[in-house]
Amino acid sequence: MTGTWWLVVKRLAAVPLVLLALSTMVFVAVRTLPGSPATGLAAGGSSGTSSAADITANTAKINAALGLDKPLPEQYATFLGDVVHLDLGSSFYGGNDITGLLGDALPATIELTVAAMLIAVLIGMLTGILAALRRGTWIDTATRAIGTVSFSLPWFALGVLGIVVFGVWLRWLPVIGRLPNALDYHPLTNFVLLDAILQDRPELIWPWLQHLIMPATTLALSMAGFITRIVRASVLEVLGDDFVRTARMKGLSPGAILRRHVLRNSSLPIVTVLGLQFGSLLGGSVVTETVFSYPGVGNLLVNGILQRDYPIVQGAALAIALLFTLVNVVVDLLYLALDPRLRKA
Amino acid sequence: MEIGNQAVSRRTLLRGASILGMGAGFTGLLAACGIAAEKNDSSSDTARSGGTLTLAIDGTSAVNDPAFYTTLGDWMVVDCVCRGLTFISFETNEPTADLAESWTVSDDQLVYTFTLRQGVTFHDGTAFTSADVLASLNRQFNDADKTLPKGSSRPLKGIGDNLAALTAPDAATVVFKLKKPDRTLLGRLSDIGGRIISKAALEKYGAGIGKNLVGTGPFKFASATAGQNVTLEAFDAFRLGKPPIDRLVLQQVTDPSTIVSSLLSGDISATQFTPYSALEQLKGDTSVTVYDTPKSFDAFIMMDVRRIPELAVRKAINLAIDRQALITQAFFGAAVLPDGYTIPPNQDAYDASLADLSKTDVAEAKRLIQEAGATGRTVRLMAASDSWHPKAAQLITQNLTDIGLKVETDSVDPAAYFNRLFDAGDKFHDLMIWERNGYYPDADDMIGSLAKPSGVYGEFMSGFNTLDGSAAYADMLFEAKNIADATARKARYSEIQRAWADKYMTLSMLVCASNPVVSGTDVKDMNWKALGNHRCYVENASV
Amino acid sequence: MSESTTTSGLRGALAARRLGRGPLAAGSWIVVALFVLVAIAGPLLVTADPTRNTADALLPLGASGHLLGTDDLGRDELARMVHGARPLLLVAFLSTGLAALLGVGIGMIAGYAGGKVEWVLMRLMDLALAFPSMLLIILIVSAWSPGVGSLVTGIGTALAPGLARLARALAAREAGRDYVLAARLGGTRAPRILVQEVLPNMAGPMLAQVVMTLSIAAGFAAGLSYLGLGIQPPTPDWGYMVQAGQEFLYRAPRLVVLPAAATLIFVVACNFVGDDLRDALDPKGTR
Repeated sequence: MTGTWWLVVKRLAAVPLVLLALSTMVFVAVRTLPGSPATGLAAGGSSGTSSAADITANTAKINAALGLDKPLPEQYATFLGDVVHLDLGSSFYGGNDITGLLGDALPATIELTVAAMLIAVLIGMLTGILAALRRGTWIDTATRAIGTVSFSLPWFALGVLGIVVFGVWLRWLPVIGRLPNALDYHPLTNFVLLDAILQDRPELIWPWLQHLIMPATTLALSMAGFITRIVRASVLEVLGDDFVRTARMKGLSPGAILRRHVLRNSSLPIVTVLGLQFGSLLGGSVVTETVFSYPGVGNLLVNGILQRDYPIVQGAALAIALLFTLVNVVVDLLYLALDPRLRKA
Repeated sequence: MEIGNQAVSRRTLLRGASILGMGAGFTGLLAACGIAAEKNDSSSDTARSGGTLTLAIDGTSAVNDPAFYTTLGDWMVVDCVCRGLTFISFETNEPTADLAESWTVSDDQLVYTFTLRQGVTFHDGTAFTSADVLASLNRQFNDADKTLPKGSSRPLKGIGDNLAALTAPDAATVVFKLKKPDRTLLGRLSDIGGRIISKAALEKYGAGIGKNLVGTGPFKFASATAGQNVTLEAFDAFRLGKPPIDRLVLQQVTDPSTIVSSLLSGDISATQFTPYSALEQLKGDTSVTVYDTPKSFDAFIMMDVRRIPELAVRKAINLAIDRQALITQAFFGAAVLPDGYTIPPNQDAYDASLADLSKTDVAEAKRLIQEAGATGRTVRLMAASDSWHPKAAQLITQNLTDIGLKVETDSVDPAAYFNRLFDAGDKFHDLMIWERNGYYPDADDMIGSLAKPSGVYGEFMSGFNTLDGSAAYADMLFEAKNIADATARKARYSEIQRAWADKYMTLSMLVCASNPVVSGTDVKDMNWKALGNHRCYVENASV
Repeated sequence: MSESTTTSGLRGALAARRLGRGPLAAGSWIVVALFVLVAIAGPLLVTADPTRNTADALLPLGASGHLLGTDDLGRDELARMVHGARPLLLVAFLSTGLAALLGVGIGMIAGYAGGKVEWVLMRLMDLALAFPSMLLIILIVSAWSPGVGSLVTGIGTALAPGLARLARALAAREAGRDYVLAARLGGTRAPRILVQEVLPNMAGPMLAQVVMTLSIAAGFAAGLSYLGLGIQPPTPDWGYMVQAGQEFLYRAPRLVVLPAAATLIFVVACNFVGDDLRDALDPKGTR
């Protein structure tokens, strides 16, 4: 058991290092993007009436105010110092507190990705098991083909298609946002489901689900195909194992075999894949959030990049990386929990 | 059980928890964590019936400050929350009285005395007086004003430079003393930069006023989240009566196809950010209204004379452009030929006799290029990568290739475009596709800015200021804008435009285009002409 | 040793007729070959200029002279489809090549050298993997002006770590084998051992993974072009065509459907080809 804990500690200790390296990378990358925020700020809304000299002077003033006139190493040192104190700074456009922005956006993204994962696992498990049990038949081929198609499908195209079909033609689902604008929502934790409970507002849940289902399914479909493959492969492998044959000989019903032996033993690769895929899910959420005007971290990141709002980009990237790294740690731990053999290693 | 500052009964929480099938242990956990519920619960809101109007906007940084430009959407919020001394409805282009009840102008045109309206209250309950006017406008004029946030752009700063004194002899009077006459003062004061904020709020929030804007407008600020939306509520004590709608939401929607879809699905009530390509389809749909929005912005190519020094080549480029193709293929009909050169058709000084300055004559263009020995020369063109710009770039590239030039193009991320335009050393600085919106509908805001030798167009972009005789244009434009008689003024502007195009041709007009406004059919009495100019006056709108 | 070289090689698999079995696999090989053919030879056969604007905008399918109609700027859609294959395939193959070069190189060195070198190299790879690859690519690509070069650099760099992991595992396995030890004792230098001995023995499973990477790279290339970070207009490119055509989704759906379907078919076919290669070359499943 001590081995296990040591592993966990080692894993967690690496997290800050990964984040440090990443934030350095993002810090540099965002500053290599062409276009300076100060020029955008100085020119915006006044480019016609101001004289060129005024704009130049104002740009210099804004650069100084934002600290962008200082040498890069100094800016970097300031940034790191602030991050250590959990201060991610404030946005260039409007001085919004980044931690506040993330507090609003992270829960939305977590809701979206978790919902997408649940949907993906559901679809992937069902189709994977079906394909494995009907191995070699047309069902198997069709499932595999559709699975491959679904994870090759570009998420943006899916999102747009979904909006046209379910939002415009059928009018079943809303196409933008997270909750209807007409609804009063005073976030507490900013997890809608949790707030619905805490504030006793069950009427929030249905509209929330309506807004969530389409972006989440869009994201999920790109991942479900992967899970189908893994589930199919591991179910096939387990079905060939001795203990399943034994169980079958003992006269256990197929359902019981599936539940007790097959699913349990194939859960390991599934968890691994979920962990690995979580990254691409987060990446995909960036575009999905933009298409659905969904108020998450991805949307924040894209806006930050478009406005060259460095603190927003840094904060959002850090949040995404943190989320991703933590999920991977959890996956590793689940791995340990699911496979006792590994604990001794 | 008391959680934070709001009493939540244990039963309430349990009932809530049961939604998720959670046990009672959960509530204890939350109580232990000290998670507090928000004060405002929806149940405390009074019942309202006017409904919600949702406008799609380009973006929001959740800061709404007349001295700080972030996005067009954020300034639309300023429109709703704050009003100025004067007002231009865009249904007419004349400034009318708003917070100023009346004004007098001295004979030498240097002293403007405004009499303020009495009995107007701000959203915070304070009464509107001359102190509020001084506090608000000094933010524009005074560099050292303490309520200015970092990065402020201050659109009225130019007026401040011409100001000898701004005083308030009493609570109901404000006096502007100018150094030089300026006929456009009344109009400029109606623009965003001239909006009046409660002095009490300025003192309370300081540079943070953009997050807590308090004005006298028809809607008061409720909440805002960067990258998402701004929510406003109807102000019961608005000077002209409570607006019919209860709530106004300005919702960021950036994806063009999502804008169209959400208009059709009803998630969005109206917007002026409709993609041009969708207009045809939207016109055929009974659930939305497509307005014949005024063609009020200039789309043009700036030519850098430092890169293309020969006037003949610049004129050839101007003659090569197939503007009709731009209208049908890049603007899908939401544009007209620039017959008044830089003055759009809905403005006073519009003069259709200038149509020949933007005519197309490919044979003549070819001849000019050959004569100048420029056949086969490489010219570089840049355009932003959003909206109509990339399509126009493709069409123009073809036009210029057809007259014997070789064209290299660069499609630029909109965020980097300002930098590229302002950088005379940029590789693609020969030809630049750009646009100018007339927020203040007057020739001074169009030709007055575009031909000003010391402005960003004349200095950063075209290098017009390096040409002989360019300095005289500053005086000519100043003189023209102050001609009181509208007919005489129009004639003078036409003269200036013709001379400028003939002698220099640093700007080739493409089209005059509109920001096409579309709304749901249930939206009534919305000022769509103002919305087409990115001004948001929806106090009469109903849904 | 000798056994593994013969059966894990591509020639061995072909000889054993383990490639292209079943309609799905065979069909996929044909589809990929067809796409490559179109990309290479298509522009020679379709003579219409894909960048020539005309006034005949949005002509429907089967219009005279325009088999697939015209797009919003009056350009021949067939010509654009055929020419549009080139950038996607070019970027997909080049970036996969770059990823393979980087990934296999780093992985092999790490796996063979072990110790500190391995630790440093693999932590670097972990770092790159600790961030969603799409975001990584966007960051890399946006720093340059968009085009084939920046796409290949971005996608190639982002996909290298995944390959490096596999290459490390394979190389580490081979490094312990007798033949490597023998070569080492015989005085052969490390680079030579790696290229002449280790590489051929790990080529099978590696190749299967590289082909899978090809499909991922193609997906990324299309996605980036769709986001406007890829090939710039007027050069025809499927990803950009999907994005540009989206404006006409209701009026001329073919402008979206054709390039989207072509991209999809190519990506899916590459996937199946990768599957098939893996089944044939790496039956025991190294991964």
